[in-house]
Amino acid sequence: MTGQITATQLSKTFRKNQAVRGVSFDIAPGEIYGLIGPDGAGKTTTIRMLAGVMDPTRGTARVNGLDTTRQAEQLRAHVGYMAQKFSLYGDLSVRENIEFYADIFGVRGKARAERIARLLKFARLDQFQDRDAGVLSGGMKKKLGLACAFIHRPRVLFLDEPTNGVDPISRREFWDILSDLHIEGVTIFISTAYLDEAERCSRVGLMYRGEIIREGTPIALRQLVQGDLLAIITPDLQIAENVAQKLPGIFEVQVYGDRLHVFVDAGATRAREIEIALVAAGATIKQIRPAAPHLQEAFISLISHL
Amino acid sequence: MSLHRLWAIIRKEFRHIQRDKRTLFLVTLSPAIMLIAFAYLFAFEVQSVRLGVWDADQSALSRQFIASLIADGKFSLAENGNGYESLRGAMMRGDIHLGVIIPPDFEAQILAGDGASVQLIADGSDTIAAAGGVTRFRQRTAEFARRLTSTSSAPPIIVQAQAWYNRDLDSTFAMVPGLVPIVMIMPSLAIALAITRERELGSFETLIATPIHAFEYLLGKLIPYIAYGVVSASIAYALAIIWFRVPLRGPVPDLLAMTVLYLFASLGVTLFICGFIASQGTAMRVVMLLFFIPSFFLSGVTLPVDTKSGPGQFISFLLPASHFVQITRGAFLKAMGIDQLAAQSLNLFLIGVIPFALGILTFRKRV
Ligand SMILES: Nc1ncnc2c1ncn2[C@@H]1O[C@H](COP(=O)(O)OP(=O)(O)OP(=O)(O)O)[C@@H](O)[C@H]1O
Ligand SMILES: [Mg+2]
Repeated sequence: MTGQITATQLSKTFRKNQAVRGVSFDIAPGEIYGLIGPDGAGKTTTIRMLAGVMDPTRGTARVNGLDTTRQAEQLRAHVGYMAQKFSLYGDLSVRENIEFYADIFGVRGKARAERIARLLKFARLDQFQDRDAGVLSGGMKKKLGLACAFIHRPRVLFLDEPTNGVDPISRREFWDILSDLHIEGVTIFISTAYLDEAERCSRVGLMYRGEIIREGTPIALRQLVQGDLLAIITPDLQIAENVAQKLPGIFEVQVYGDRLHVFVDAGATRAREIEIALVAAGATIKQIRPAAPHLQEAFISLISHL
Repeated sequence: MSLHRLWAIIRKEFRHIQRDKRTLFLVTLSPAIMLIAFAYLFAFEVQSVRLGVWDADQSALSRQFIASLIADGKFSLAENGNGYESLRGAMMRGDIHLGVIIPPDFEAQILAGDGASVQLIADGSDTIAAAGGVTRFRQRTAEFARRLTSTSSAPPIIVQAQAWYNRDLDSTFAMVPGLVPIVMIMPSLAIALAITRERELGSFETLIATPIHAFEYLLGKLIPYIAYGVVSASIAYALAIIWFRVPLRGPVPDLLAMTVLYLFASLGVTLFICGFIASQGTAMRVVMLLFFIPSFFLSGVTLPVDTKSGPGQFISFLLPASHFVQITRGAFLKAMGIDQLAAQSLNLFLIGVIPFALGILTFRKRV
């Protein structure tokens, strides 16, 4: 393995709880790798082991060719890490927070002022630099966290659910910043519970119960879904769901807001059958059409077939 | 080891202290306020002072004298001695606070009109009860003498309190310097809360992923708290001198230097222990349980410590307060400097440096 982030059979057991069960990675320089999975899947534990802040029970990991357990201290200069429960110092200003990490990472002299100014601009925080970090909005805190994690210009960034609980606009802004870093060639390893974010990654690993159950480009993962997807828009969701589930040729029914997503063996013929059955059951159908599955559907479908 | 990183931690820690009212209060005014509370509590608490008496006279008058001392129950007779050594022994064991020696010619001298002298031994300024007891003893003796001498003018009973520091025991607040070690627990509490808060909030996990060294982190935490500790101790000393009118006879720079050693010891132990504690709540309880309560009972602040043996003696030796109480009393009441208190100072240094070094060795840069 020659990747920038590699792991072999990485495992972590807490008492009897096998949080991570032998995961392996080989991530090339410049990739954005997304680790996607539900709560408790083991994402945080995996990232901690890769970032050298938690020792694995078994298995090894290397980042930039350095062993994350034995050479953890040498690794620090090359890695930026934003913990899931990361916390800035709320009583320090935005600038004081960044300056603190600059000093800790040994960013000195002319580079210090230049880099801080650039990062503040980059994170769109330059107008707020004298504000206490504690009173920033959720989105701004995350951007400041990213700026602090990137102050030493690491080649690899580990970000653990950095957009969790942030409004959609701030999330998009955060990802725009990540895209800029990506263009600069930074390797990014990011975990998220938002599947739409996975679409922006170059590669995605689906984590479930401590294992990577699928790995690939977002497009490839979408194609793993069995059968065709039909989207049905109806005001009578409940009836429609119950009826659809019992019909032949149906793999799976998922409810999304105002619509039903139905995976079927053959889209064209089943669409007709479903429509007839629903109308017979008294449901109004506004629209029924074939749809391209998003990662979200793909993931739910994959998990339910395990 | 990087001075830049050390300085970054120091400056950050100073900012945290200055910007958080609760922490700032803990490391500036709270010791002085506690000192006032304890001083009045101990000074006016109606506490039974245990008396040991060696009555060498065994006369009617001497027995009357003893009876008058214990009449209202504020003194209790805990030991009937038969010599200096028996009183000293009882005092060592903590059985008595004060020893009274009535000379063989007590009655004869009084009847002859020459006036008798009784000797009082108090174990230095070492217990609060003794300090209050000496004052009370003088009052009682004077009252007894007045009743005997309604006619004559010469005071017939002279109290000779042993050694030269009796003058200070006359002050109701002579015990105030001895209380300083207890109230100076507050900086330890503050640093314990600061360290565990950083862990609880998750900032510590971010620090793990930086090149910070254990030594820089721990020393960077320690220095600001020592600095503020000296500030709060100075406020407490000023209070003792100005408000309680206890004279500071020893050299001020020496006292401050030894205060730094005490802070180093108590904060060093706290830093070490906090390496194993995850929450602020636990940290608070551990500091209270480990320092506050034992310091009250085992350091010699309120009770004399048996200096020869016993399991309490070992714990007492490990408590920074045990050594510092000798320092504050010595500096205030006995005009002692760091040269005379070198043993105590060295002990404090060792009690600080050993856990601090262990803290660095056991510091885990992992979650
Ligand atoms: N320090 C720890 N001690 C004990 N158990 C832990 C610890 N950290 C995680 N776990 C357990 O390991 C499992 C995986 O947790 P982890 O935090 O890695 O999941 P996650 O995918 O990050 O979930 P989330 O989306 O909630 O952040 C969970 O069952 C969790 O309870
Ligand atoms: Mg997590």
